[in-house]
Amino acid sequence: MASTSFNHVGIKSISVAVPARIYNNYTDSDFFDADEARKIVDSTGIRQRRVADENICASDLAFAAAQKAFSETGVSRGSIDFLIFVSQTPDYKMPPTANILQDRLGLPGSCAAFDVNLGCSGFVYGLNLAYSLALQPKINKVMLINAETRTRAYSFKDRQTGFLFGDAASALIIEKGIDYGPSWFLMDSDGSRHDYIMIRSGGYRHPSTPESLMERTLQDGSVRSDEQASMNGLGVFEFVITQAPVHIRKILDISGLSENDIDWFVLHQANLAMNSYLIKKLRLDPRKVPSNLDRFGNTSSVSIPLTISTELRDRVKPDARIIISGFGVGLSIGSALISLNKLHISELVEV
Amino acid sequence: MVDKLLEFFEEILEKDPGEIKSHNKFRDYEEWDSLAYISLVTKIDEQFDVTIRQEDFQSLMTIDDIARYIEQSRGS
Repeated sequence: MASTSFNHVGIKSISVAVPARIYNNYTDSDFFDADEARKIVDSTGIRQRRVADENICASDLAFAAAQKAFSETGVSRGSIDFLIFVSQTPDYKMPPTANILQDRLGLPGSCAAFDVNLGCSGFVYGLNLAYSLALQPKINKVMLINAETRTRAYSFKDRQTGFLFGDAASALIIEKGIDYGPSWFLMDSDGSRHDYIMIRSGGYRHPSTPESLMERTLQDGSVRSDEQASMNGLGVFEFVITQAPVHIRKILDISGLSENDIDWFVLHQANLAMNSYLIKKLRLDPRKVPSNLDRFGNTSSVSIPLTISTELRDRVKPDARIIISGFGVGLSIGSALISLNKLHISELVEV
Repeated sequence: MVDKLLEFFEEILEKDPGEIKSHNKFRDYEEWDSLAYISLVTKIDEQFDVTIRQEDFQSLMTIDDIARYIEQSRGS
């Protein structure tokens, strides 16, 4: 396990934006009939999700979240020395979306902006990177953005994935500070299972062709093209229920803390069955495991800050300790124990 | 172990006790689906502390096969 630890660095603020448009999984499918939809929705626990209009990209959601962060914290744009943009649905293949945002947000040319290509584990990996950079003596503040229009990557006619994903973006300001307590991170990869969640065509290994864009009907009646993501859901399920408990136990072990010392366990919002089983296996108090899966679905790397934003905004105490864990495409998993210090959580922005 | 696995299958596939045999091909039951798979792997994980890698599971045809897999995993 790649393991890091930090002290005197933390999250100043979390701001999250989602599309205003609500998609009702029970009623809005043009492809699956009501009975089929109900069966799928009941098993995933995702009743509705936010779906961006065609003209809204990940950077538009990110921009709204970041603007909210600046206006509410009073942090000056000139103090942002790094802008990290984590996404697998960037605006373009090139340039990096981070640079587009650097300009649009009015951040100075002295700000180093770059993209990170990661999915559901990407919040933890991004936070680990942001903490590392923020601790540098000459660095003032780091902005960590996670943004996804994940609904564009999957077919709405795919039984496995067509009901799961939602769109969202989060913007965090990371800074040094003597009052920020310790944090610990663990990260692992399993590239042997890289094809479990994958868009096979449209990259440089299998370039886009008229055939790769053609929709095909699969054995289970689902319809998708090779340029839409496929998922081996059962394989991912097995990976997560094996790896996530190991991570969470290990984090408690290396921090010397017990479950009772942790205020909240914020898990990536993948699906109901997975998270329910993790709670059961780790014998967690379900009241300490917030969820917004029913209303926002799986928003990939945004799901952890989105859950903190919608579920903990009025409940989190100033010095709370939170364990977070994100897992998915790669396959990849990252978990962390973070200590808060008067975290500012913005009200959700709708775009 | 086989008895415990039979109990799991009876519960998941909603069958009467004794109806399922350990040499039966469990995928032949029409009640076998992805939710049944998830129930089974979580029950096995909880009871025996063994998770069956999905590629490995594809090659397991009967409850006897699953029992052998679990025994080998626990032994290694």
